[in-house]
Amino acid sequence: MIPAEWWLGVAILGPMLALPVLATRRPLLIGAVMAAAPAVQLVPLTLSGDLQLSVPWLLLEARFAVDALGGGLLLLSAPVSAAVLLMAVAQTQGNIRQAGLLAALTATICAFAGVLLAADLATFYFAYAVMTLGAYPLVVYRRDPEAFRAGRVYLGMAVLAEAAILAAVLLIAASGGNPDLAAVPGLVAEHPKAGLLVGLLLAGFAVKAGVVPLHAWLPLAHPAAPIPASALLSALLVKAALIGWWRLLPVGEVALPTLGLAVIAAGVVTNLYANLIGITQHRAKTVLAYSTVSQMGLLTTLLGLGLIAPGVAGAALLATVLFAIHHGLAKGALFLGCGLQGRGRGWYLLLPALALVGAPLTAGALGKLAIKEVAEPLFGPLAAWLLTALSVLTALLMVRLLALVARGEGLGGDAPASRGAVVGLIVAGLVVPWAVAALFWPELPGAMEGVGYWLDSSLPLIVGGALGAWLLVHRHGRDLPTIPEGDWIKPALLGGLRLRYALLRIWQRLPHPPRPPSLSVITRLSAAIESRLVAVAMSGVLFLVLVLGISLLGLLAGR
Amino acid sequence: MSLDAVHELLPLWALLASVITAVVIFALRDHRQRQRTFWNLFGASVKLVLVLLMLHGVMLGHSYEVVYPVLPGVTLLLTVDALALLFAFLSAVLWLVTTVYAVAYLEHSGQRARFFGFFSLCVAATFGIALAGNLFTFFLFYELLTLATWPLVVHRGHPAALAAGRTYLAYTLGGGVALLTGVVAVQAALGDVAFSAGGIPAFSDWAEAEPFQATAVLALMLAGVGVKAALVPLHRWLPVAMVAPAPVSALLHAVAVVKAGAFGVVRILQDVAGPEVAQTLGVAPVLVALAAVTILYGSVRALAQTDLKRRLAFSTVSQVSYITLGVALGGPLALLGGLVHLVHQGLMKITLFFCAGYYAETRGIHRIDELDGIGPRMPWISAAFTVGALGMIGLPPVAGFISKWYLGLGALEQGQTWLLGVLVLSTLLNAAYFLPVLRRIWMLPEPAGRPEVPPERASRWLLYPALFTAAAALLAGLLAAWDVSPLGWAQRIVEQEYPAP
Repeated sequence: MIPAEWWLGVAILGPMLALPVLATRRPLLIGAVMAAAPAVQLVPLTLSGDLQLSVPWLLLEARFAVDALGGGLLLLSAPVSAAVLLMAVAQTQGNIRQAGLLAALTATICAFAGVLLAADLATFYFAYAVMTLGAYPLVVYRRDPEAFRAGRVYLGMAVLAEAAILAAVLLIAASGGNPDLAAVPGLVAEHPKAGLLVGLLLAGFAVKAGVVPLHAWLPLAHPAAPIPASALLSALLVKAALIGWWRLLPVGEVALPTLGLAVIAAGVVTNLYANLIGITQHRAKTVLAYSTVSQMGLLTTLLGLGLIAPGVAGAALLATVLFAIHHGLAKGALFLGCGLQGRGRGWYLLLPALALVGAPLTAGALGKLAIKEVAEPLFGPLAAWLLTALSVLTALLMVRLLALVARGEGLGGDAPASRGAVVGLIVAGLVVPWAVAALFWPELPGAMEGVGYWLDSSLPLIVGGALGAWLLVHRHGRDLPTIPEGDWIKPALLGGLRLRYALLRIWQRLPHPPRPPSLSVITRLSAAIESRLVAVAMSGVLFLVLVLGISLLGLLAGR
Repeated sequence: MSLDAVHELLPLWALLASVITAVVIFALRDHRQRQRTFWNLFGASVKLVLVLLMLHGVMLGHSYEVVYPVLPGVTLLLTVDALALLFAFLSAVLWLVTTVYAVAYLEHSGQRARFFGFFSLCVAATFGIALAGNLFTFFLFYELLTLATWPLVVHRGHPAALAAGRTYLAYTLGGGVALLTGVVAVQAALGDVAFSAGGIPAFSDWAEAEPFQATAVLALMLAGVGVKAALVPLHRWLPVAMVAPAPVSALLHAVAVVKAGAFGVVRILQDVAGPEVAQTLGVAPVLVALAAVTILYGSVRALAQTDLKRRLAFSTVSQVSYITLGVALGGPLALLGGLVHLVHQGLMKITLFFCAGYYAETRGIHRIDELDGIGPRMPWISAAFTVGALGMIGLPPVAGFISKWYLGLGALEQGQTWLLGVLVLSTLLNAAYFLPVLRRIWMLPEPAGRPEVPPERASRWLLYPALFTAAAALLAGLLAAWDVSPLGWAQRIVEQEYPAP
């Protein structure tokens, strides 16, 4: 038997170890093994005790450990990874690039597990960077101009963000070598350049989280990527930003009221903006991408709450885990559901969509209740009202999504395995958040009673649903304004291109001085001598004789 | 001669291994291909074994020294310390690998005796530079290297190659004169002094007594080695020397010439002047600024190149300055970053040049836009290229990340936060000129009508060296915390240069 702590390593590399099964070329076996492999991510959770793995020869003395945040998100990662891999196998049957897609998916999944389980700064950065890069082949998988455009925007923004994170990581490491992640918030809080550091971390991870206006890559990448890849992007990849924020920022260490308020404002604006833009979109996957942006806004708000009041940081973290699990499972099911064939697929989407809106008794209601519990002590009833208002918009967005899906024809092939993957995720979405809440926050499900609760959770659904239905019947969404996917990025890139051409034109019009004449006689003379030198085949011998002769002379003179 | 005496003279035997190889190869006729290959590989292997023996000895605490008085008051001194072995081991390993590659690469071209003879001489010179124990010895081998590489640069013999050779000689001989002046001045002022970790004590006394002279001498010597280290504005020769055959470029960029310059910077700053003296004389801060400018300038120029090898050349300009930067910063962490980059840059850049040569040789690909879709067609060599490129950007787990980590920490340790900006900007620029290449290789479709090349032309012996160095670059990063990794060895050097109080 392997020692208990090595299961952490297996949990990270497990899906990768399953890749050789591709060589068997037996679809059933491949599907079964690939879908079963992510289950090893759950093993560390079943082992008792404080699991800590230290590998002194790896990278800069790599350490791994499970904590509440990492362990909680493993509960999200395992089912989503399994469903995504199953769907990928089912939908790329016979495709020549199946192995490539599966390898990129697996690499991203393993790197995400690494992000969750890394316990030192360098390993965390390593896993995060691999995850970021591993997603690029996913985005450009289709190899058409749209995919390449999306890939360029994704990579450009990701690399810029990575640079900010690298600077922050080096600044942190300067005061503590390669510190344990647990020690990092303290180091950041006491760092002489704490302001710069916090800014770099917030901005660096905000790209991945899709905080407006750094969200532009999401609405481009999601429709361009194949279905399983977009599910992975939305359900897991963006959550890595949360890990970065909660692990590295001094949340719970110091109170940063101004900054916290700014982060809350950014989160609320993100939610509002993404919902509004999302409603105008015409492709189901783009709508879903904007929905992801909006829900990440809520998670950003939770970070802001933790930054304002260290007292509620613990509760805010729990709420983050809970909401992230709920959102990941629901969004994964929605994306994979889009890949089913036929009109009936709308029914598969109904339950996760209801959960996102936060309909009564869904996991979404649980998540929103958790947010409310955290926000209410700080902001009073304002928080509840704001959350309800934002949920109305979410409901509208979901109506838009369902309408688009009901009209469209579906994007992928139809296989029982695909349906199984979607159903599996829906079931996980029904079970896992509740289990997590029951284990870690037992009071929370208890708070779901009384007229106030029912009113709060059904109001957005009723208002938003009714409004959406009315719009559908009367307008069919035809006269919505046309906003390009990724809203600001297209005008910005076009503007940049125009500026470049304008500058080029100016440069070409400038007078350029003629080149000075060269010393042609000398050049030609030396060239003639050289070419003769080169022609001497044994010039090497001459050279050696020269060197040896000189050293012999030196030797004689020395004696 | 007793066995002990033989053992004591190990550095000399290792040096002679390359020189004798050169002599034998010069003596062979051009068509004696098998014999030449045998002697090449034999020489390289013997040398590697000897270096490994010395490595073992140094790990056990032994030290080797070969003294040979040339003139009264001038000695030829070969010493083996940890720093010398870092460079010697790198050159011995990469020489063997490059020899294998070069044999396969130049199978059908003429003038092979001349080529391989000078190739061996060039490595002998590099080895001498690594083991040089005083400035005189260093200068001797440094100039020998200049002369031995010229025939390699102009090997093809066409006008462009000759022009490149001219530029190369003009720059490096100019640098040599500056170095010679500095060396003679030190010799005149201090007598025959050996390198010593942390600076020669006599030099710091002299610097106190005659600060202006010492500054001028130090600046002259650094300008001399700065030419080979391709510091802006002395870097012009390097991109021009790209016309050389791929194995030569690989050797030039990874081990021999630019590394000799960078190693010279290390020796002069650390073991002649000492970091504190260099700091107080004001030479080190200037060097830091120059290195920072070079890092960014090289990257910006690389961005504009359309020729693969030229882009790699400008990338070298930028990357080698990381070493200079680390040494000039003058702290233990920065020195660690600089030293470890000496090895890491060598491994990564030699991989990239091997790959560039492979593409050129098998498919006739020279420009970057001809690389479209080559990845799925040649997956192994393209994977090696990818590892090298990702390492250059500084992405973990490839070795480049480790260098960047310690350079960043070193800059912050010295309170130079602005350098963090330089490092990050350089990372971005590196990403900007390497990632599009990777995208072309792996993602873009292959253009229609690319000629099918029969597989036998793509020699496997061009492939294996690239795979070996790529794996080494990957492992150097992945196993960085291991005792015998380049990082572990560099830590040992830093402990000698900055003894714990």
